[in-house]
Amino acid sequence: MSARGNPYVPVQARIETIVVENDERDLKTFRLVFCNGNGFSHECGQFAMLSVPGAGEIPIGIASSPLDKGYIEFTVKRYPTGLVTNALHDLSEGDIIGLRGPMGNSFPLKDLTGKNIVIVGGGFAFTTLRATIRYLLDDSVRKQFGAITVIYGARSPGELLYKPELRQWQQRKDVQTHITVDKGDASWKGREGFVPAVVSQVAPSSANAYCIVCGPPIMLKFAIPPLLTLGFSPETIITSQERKMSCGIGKCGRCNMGSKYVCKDGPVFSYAQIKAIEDKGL
Amino acid sequence: MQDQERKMKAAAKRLFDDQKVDVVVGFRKGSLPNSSRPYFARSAADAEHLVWNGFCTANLAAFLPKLFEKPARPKDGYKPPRIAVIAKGCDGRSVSGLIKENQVPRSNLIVIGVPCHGMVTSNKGAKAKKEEVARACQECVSPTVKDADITIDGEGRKPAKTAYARVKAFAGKSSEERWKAFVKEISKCIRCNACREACPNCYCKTCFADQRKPSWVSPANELSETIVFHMGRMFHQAGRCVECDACVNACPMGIDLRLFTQKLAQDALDLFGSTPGIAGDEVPMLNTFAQDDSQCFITDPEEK
Amino acid sequence: MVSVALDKKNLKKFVGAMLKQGKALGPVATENGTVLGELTAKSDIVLDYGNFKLPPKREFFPQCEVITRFDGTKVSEEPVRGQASVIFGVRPCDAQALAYLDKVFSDETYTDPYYQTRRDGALVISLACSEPGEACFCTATGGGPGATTGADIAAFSQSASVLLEAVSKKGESFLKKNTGLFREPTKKELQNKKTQGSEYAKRLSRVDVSGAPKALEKRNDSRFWDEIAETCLSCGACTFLCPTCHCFDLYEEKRGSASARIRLHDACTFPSFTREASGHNPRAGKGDRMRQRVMHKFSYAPENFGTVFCVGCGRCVVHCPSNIDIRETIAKVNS
Repeated sequence: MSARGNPYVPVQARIETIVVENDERDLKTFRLVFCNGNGFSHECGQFAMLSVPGAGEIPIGIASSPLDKGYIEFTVKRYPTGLVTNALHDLSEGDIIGLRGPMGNSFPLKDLTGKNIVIVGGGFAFTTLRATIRYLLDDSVRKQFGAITVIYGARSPGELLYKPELRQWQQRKDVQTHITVDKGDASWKGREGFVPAVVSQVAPSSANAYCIVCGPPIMLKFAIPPLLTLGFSPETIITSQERKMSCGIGKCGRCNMGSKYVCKDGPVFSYAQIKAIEDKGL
Repeated sequence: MQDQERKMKAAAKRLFDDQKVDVVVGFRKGSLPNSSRPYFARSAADAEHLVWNGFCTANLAAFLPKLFEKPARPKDGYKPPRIAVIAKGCDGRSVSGLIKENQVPRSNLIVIGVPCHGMVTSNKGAKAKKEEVARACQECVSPTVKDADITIDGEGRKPAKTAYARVKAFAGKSSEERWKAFVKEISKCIRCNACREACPNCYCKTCFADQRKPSWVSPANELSETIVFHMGRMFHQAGRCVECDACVNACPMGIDLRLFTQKLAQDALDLFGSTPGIAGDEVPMLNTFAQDDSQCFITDPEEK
Repeated sequence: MVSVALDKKNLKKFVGAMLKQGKALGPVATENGTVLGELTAKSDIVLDYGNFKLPPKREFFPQCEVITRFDGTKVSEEPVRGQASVIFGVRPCDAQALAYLDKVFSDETYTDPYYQTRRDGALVISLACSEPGEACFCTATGGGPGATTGADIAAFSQSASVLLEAVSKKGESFLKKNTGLFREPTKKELQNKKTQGSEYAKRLSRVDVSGAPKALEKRNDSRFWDEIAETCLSCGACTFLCPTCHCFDLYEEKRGSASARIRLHDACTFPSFTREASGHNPRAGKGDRMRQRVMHKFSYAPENFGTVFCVGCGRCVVHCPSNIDIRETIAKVNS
């Protein structure tokens, strides 16, 4: 959306498919197709404002890769108190919603060519990481980067997102995929353990490497120390932040962390940037 | 009045010296000419800053529910704070109401009653006028707290015999006139919520106006939304409002909310024989019923 | 730039000239004091008021306005309606605030069309102050009683005349267009303009605002802010009356299958301002919100825009129900 257009008017997109991702059935992936060809392209890590007419607008990370042609995907959690998430979850395939985007900055992949990339995700903060992994594993892109390691965990096996894709990645040789759950069930044959602990166990090398880590605040709090111990620096640890938003374009004053707006200067910040903000005052 | 201020400060200091309180909620000198402002004294040294004069308009009871609020994650050995409040008559009535509604624990509260001479009309930046006692204070039926824990000696105002003359005159006007006057006043509202936050009775964790599921009223200062907000808030005060004018004084737009709060107070008196916060042991007006209560509002709404 | 004098006996003609541009607003007397009201040919413009209670930003950034509509099928942009063509009597502090808001609503990536359309379509005529308010401190924030930033024309009221100076091309164009109403200012009038300003400035509050951004870097202590915010009621009086505050919310109103998206003023002082659907609230405490408010104006804005977002108008000081005084807060920050 350029400065000439009206940044508050959404474009319309049709819901093509809805996939329920988890056993609790409160996480759905919506595959959208832009109406009338008025779409936008995005970069990994960016988000868009989804609007459900009559309910409102919410900022959601884009879960599909920039190279996925013809559609754009979002994975949205239904919150009991959420006006929009509830309205969205009540929609069906074929319904039309609004999109404003792409918004925010992106993971600095252009600066990471030739480097090894470690991706660490927890819970349903995994969405933009999934977009990034899909992008990195594309044939046209993969050669540009070194080794790719993925560490992803959820509370339980039923809560893992993108299960078919996780299985595919686990079959591939060009990515090391480590999936874990806080607590398994009778049929779970995989790893058990909190994501921060698994980071220490897998111990990805920090040599020539960057780490992109996304998760709820509590997971970040415990995942960053092991990464620092492994030799990653605050500059080479990249995270994505979330705040309540309204305009998404840096004017309504709501989503700031210190002097930075999460919608405009973020949502992607390095850990070094976060520390600088926190030192000065949130 | 300076003598009363001296005695009030001494009483506050004594409470700290005897380690009987954690906070004394009172007033200190304001940053504008002819003003005082709410102040939390936390030590005998702090208490030196307390003042008592004709500018102590705020209703200090408004601060009590939050001060007594239990933290979401209380530390081990958490004990509620012991709080003293410098109370005019209206503050005392509000405190009484808050105790009845379980927002303030009686055992942890010390009411220091100071005789009130009436507060000066608040000016809010207008050129200094000759000091005159505020209308709310001229009409006050209880200038001094009757059953304070500590009573500062002195003569306060004589209680007025409020007959709600202004409200009755207004009620006598035609429906169109009243609606026009109401809309004219309420149109000034900018939905800043100062009236609500200054009111001791507005302690709801989520105000009906802020609810979104369902949404009763939007935050817009569009006339119909503004009317619903004020009517809703007013009616939630029925039988509870003590006519302290905290809302009137807090409002930056000078809306005459007193006309409406007084109507509630008049109805409470005429229909229920209730003067909120005065008698010590009454149950909140709308929280009780008797078998022989009038049913006419259902059976014969036209009956007066 | 063009500088002219208008004899006060020609004020009504001047109102007429403003009305020729379209809808005109100016200071008019009402039972609630002097307000920025709509002018008619009969209007008596007031020239000796302190300041409007409500900041003129509301003419460009209304408290509530529909920005988009959904008719059941399509979304449409709501046209800007009822904007003023001339706004006369904006005090220099409030005009300076408009210049700050310009930076927020139009940046290198996005322009807010609703604000910008109103701003582009209005001629702003500021009116220099002759009497400081009891809490004014405009000189401390880089302004002054005769400052001209943010206005198209700066007016200076004297005993029998009003001096008008063009500040922008738009302003110059208006003065040239109505040249028949004006005359050359006399030397005395020009001299009065200078002395009036400096006399006034002497009576303003002294606050060291320039040192605040640096001092705030060391004030991350939550105890400091909890103490300042102790008696704060978390209402929005300070925010809604502030000429530079611009925080807003987008609210959806539904009617059947149609809906309207409304932009509303919002306040970072409100407890639910940053509360997320999960219940998590990064600024749950009053101290956090007080720190946000003060830092936004005196630390983040300087960092992002090169200027503090406070013009020293004093409204927040006068109208805070708890009399929390930003001048004292800045002094505490600096100490």
